[in-house]
Amino acid sequence: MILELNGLTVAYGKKIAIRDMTLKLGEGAVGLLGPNGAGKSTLLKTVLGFLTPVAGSGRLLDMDIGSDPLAVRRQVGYMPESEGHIPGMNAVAFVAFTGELAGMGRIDAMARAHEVLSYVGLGEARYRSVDTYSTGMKQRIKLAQALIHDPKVLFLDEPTNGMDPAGRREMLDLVRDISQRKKISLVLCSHLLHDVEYACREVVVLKEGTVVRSGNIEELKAHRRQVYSVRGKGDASTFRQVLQASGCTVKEDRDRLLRVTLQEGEDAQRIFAAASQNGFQVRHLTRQRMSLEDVFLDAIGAEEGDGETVQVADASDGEMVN
Amino acid sequence: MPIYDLSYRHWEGSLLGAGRRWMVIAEAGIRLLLSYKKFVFLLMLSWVPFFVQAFMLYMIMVKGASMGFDVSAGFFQNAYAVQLFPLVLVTIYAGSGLIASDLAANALPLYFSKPITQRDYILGKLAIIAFFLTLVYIMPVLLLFIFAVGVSPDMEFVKENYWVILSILGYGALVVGMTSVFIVGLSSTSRSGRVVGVAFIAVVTFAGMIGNLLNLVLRMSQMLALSPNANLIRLSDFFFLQESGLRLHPMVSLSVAALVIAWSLWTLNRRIRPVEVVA
Repeated sequence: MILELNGLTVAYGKKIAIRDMTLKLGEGAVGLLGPNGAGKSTLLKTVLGFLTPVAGSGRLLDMDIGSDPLAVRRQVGYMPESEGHIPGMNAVAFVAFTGELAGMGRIDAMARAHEVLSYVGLGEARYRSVDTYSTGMKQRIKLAQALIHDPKVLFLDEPTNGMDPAGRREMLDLVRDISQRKKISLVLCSHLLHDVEYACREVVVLKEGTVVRSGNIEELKAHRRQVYSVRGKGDASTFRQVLQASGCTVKEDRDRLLRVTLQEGEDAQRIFAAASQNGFQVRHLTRQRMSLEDVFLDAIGAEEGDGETVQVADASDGEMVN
Repeated sequence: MPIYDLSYRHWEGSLLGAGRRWMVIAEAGIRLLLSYKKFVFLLMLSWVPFFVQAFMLYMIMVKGASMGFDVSAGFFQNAYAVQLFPLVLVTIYAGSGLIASDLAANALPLYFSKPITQRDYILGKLAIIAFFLTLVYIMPVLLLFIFAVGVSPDMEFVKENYWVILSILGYGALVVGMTSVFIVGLSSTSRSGRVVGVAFIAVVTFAGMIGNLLNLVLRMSQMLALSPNANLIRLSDFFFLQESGLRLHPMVSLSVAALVIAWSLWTLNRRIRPVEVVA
């Protein structure tokens, strides 16, 4: 167990950012998902001791986060969301300096800085001033400074922000390599479903400061609720109403394809029954494999999923059943 | 270990204790400033008055030249007055951006994600500016005194002026300490070092003008307590046991210094946080 929270509540003044959160995170890569303002970054900052909880407690690697934040930070590498560097330094001096801040000796820190800069792909640019770095390079150097003291846990807050597709892929490959081959547990905080799905095995979905879903991504995707794409001939709006009246969630896309999420324990017979009830002719029925998007939308409520706050994954593969 | 896996290795060393974290910040800041040629040139220029005064001191004490003054406590008090200009220049150059540039570069979360405290950070920043101010303010006067002891033909100078070394250290430490805390505090109020530099000059200039003006208009000498220069003169008179021409009690000037330090520490405590919380 890397992180354990018990009834944690964090507030910015009167605004509650995390509400009575109880959570256990195991080793490996865990994604923290949620729309903006869900409390993802606040959670990381609280564990690091930047914010003081108003109630509850937490332990990271069996260390109390409230009473000994410095001990916690010795074991954690933190890559903040916002762009940041220490002005006037070149990359290798900057990373070595952060190593010294972590408690490494100067020679060790400098040797290690060269290693981690090579690892994150900045070996050629290590003597350039960080002030001149592109956004993607700044993301990489933030990862390097987080890795400098070989932490047991990494907190990555939106690590692919501002990166081009190729850079983003490389960053995610690094993240995956760190957790799978280097055996460093990490918490990846993102609003990009694809990033979490690519790099993590576990996911925690947050909404308004509370955990609304958590678990193994594959298990969550093998969800008890089946999803179908339906197209047919007849009065689609009545068909839709009948399905909704029976508790199904129905969404229609631009191609007039209905996306029907059945209730737990139901199968395609529910759709056929609804169709037969109002004379709707089903001409196309495809069983959808649950994507992380579905899990996410289901967790936070579908009405919030189509806003601009969350970028969803590509469409999932379909499986023909009829 | 296979060769393809050499890119990332776990580090086997152990982390040092928390006691020296502020020194890491101080050392890095000092190294960074010393890498600027303009700043090194400024430091060298700051020592020019020392060589001029050392030459004068040599001429008086060794060659017996008459320059209208003798080498006593007043000579070293005056040496401090001469070093005030370099002190201001170095304070602006080295001090104004100390925290402002970290705020501009959003560096505080990076500092505080490591096992350092707010106190480590502030102490480290203070040590940077205090180091350079000591170098351009206290060291020249202290070396001047040591030089005077060295070239004095007999023990008479030492017998009469041995206490001056305490005056030099006490007054110098007060000025360097107050200036360092003030500029670091001021630096935490803005994201621009230039703004901080201008604010420093403005505070020193306008506070002096207002203090002198109120003293003239209201004929209340205590109004001089608003003037940084008047306070420094009064305090140096106090430390060097000189009769003061200013009708200002030294305790008032000491209280002003304490207020400046208190405001700066209060500001630092409010501004130096790993996250900016806007409730």
